[in-house]
Amino acid sequence: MYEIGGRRLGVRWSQPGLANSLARLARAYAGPGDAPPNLSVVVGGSRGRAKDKHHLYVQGRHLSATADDGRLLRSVIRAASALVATPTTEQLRLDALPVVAPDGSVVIVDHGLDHELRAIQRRIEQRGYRVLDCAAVALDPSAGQVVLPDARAAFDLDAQAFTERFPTGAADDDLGALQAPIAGIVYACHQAPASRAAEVAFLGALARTQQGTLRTEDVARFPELTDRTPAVPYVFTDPPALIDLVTARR
Amino acid sequence: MASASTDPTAIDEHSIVRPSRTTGTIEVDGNVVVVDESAGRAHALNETGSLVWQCLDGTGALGDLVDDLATEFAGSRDAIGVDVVDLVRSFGALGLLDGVGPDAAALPPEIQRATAGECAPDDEPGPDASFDDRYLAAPPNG
Repeated sequence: MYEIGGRRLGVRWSQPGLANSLARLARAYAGPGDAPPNLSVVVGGSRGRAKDKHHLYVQGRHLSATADDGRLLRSVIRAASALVATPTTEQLRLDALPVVAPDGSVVIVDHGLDHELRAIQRRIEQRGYRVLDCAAVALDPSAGQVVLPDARAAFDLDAQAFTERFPTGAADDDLGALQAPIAGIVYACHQAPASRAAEVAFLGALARTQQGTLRTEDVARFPELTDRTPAVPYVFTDPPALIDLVTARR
Repeated sequence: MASASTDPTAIDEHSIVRPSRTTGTIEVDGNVVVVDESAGRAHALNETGSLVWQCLDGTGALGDLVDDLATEFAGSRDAIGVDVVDLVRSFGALGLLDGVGPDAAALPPEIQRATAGECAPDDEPGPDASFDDRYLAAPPNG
């Protein structure tokens, strides 16, 4: 169990090894407890030289899979810090993944496209993009910026020891705070929106709360957001190449 | 006023309906987006749908609205009446009207979040399969 920003967060592990590694490096670790399992980690096993992937679930939903121990722990730290972050009144919390482009701008990708995004993740990483494993992403529509908290600070992480034990790869999340312009939003839909109102209706679904409800004032912020930021539909009935949508120059 | 949990198909020109209290409305480029806050969905309406939605204030019967529209647009009253009733029934089927359709608040959250297709068995049409989408600029998102 971790205590982050005054909130108790349960992380359930299928095996203790990596759980103990993180607990030793994060001062936010509050010992074993009965907090609800907000995050669940299924640690991959080894078969000779082959290694199964670890899987991270956030509130019952699959978020990421990797065979790399360091990358798994980075995902846990980033996902948990984003989960407990409370957006300010200026911010909008979206059910989406931030993808950081080589120029530092961020493409927001609908969580409904997780499967498609993970299928191209390795290829876009080769082009210098980084997928940050956030359960949700906060953004400021009026500024057109993504705002992510410093995940290292949230976990009170011994950053030096962590990096020595788990070196940061080129495509890895450095876990730092991020305030960056939004280059675009890619959202899932069943058919191409026929109007700007339809686009707002589709995008509005990204602002669902964790309880599955929607606030009108949140949906009302999308016209302002899309005035400054291009929103691109990914139509399931006629799917384009997601890699082109994510890496398009805007 | 439609009584609690009225079947949408029972709506006719004598009905007096108003938006559910859990809906909100925003306007985008002249078209209305109806936000169903409890179900976590937003519906974009086209011009006709937007006009009718904005007239549903719970004070007059739909027949009065039909009269007004027939006068305003110099169209066939019968045809406009059929269209308006169909449209308002569609709003009801989506759970957007007060006291009409399924009581979404009584459903478990995971059902509220699911799309109609996910709720229905594979061999049966979803609850809104009969929904006439002529007035929607896009199908209900999920």
